[in-house]
Amino acid sequence: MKFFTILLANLLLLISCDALIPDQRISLLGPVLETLNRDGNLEYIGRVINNSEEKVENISLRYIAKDKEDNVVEAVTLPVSGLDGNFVNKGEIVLFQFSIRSNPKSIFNKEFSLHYE
Amino acid sequence: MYFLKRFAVITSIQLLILSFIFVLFIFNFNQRREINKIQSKELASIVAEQASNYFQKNKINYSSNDFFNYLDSQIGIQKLTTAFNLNSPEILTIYFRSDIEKGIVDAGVDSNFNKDDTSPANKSIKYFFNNKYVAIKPFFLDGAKKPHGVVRIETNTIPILTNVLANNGIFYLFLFLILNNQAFLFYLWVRKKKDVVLDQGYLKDSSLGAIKIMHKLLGDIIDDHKESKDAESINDIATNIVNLDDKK
Repeated sequence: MKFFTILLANLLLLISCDALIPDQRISLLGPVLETLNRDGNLEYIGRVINNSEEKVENISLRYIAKDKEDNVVEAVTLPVSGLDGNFVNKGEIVLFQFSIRSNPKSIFNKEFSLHYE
Repeated sequence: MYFLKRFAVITSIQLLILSFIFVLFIFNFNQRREINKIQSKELASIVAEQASNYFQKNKINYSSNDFFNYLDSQIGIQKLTTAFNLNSPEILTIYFRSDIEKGIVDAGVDSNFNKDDTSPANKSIKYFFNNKYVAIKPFFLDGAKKPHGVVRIETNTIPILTNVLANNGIFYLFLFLILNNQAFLFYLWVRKKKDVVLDQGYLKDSSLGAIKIMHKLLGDIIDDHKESKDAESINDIATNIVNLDDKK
């Protein structure tokens, strides 16, 4: 009985290790370019790619800007749509571009995350 | 007390094994982080070179979208991604010297436009270590003494941590089991054998004490039986004597 308990615990540990590898169906293609636009606001340009073998619907890009104390300064959610509608086809690359309104000097940490169904 | 002592020994051995595995994990993580730092610096140099070329041609008429396409045509977005097989950089930043000097933006650079390690813009302390690595490289236009701007490349080190754990999880698990096995074998090797030494006695003090008590009890019981037998024989003698008082 004890042997099976240890075996089960080890198996669970292995499964949890596997869960650490992120899902790469939809990902950013290359780094996001950050610049200061002519208004003095931070502007972002990047690309999203569908690496999966099927079309993926309702993709959104979430950007969170945080200050020195790790408090959220600004959050942006951007829908990512392909050429044919509210989905991204297999292998399709979608360009996104947006700018934020917060003072660039108050932003210390930036996070990008992709959400989809 | 005996079980508590045993439990303490087992816990300390487990902690020793786990700390050894943890040191190994930190070593693997640092190794990958160093590779990531070198890659970030190299990429920052390449992008800075391309930025010099681009802004040389488009000093006034430039756009971030145009620069992004220029980078794609010169280096290739795919190349930018595959250069970091483990952890690709999330943000590539271009800041102009004029914006930095005006104080519009904190680029995390010193007065010579090199990376300032003490700047809070280059740090993000979470889970007891800095989870952000920033590579900064200034770029120059032809003939200029001061840089036109800086290229900043930010990489998050948390994915490296999870990646190391995900890739080496099975190895750490087997190492834990093997070390436990080795610890048990070592215990069997050093375990004291209880030899029977007749010269010094082969019974524990407590057992000897119990036997002494039993010996005393048995002696008392035997004595009691002796006494009862004596009493019976006295009674037998006594039955031949007629008590005149009873007949009254």
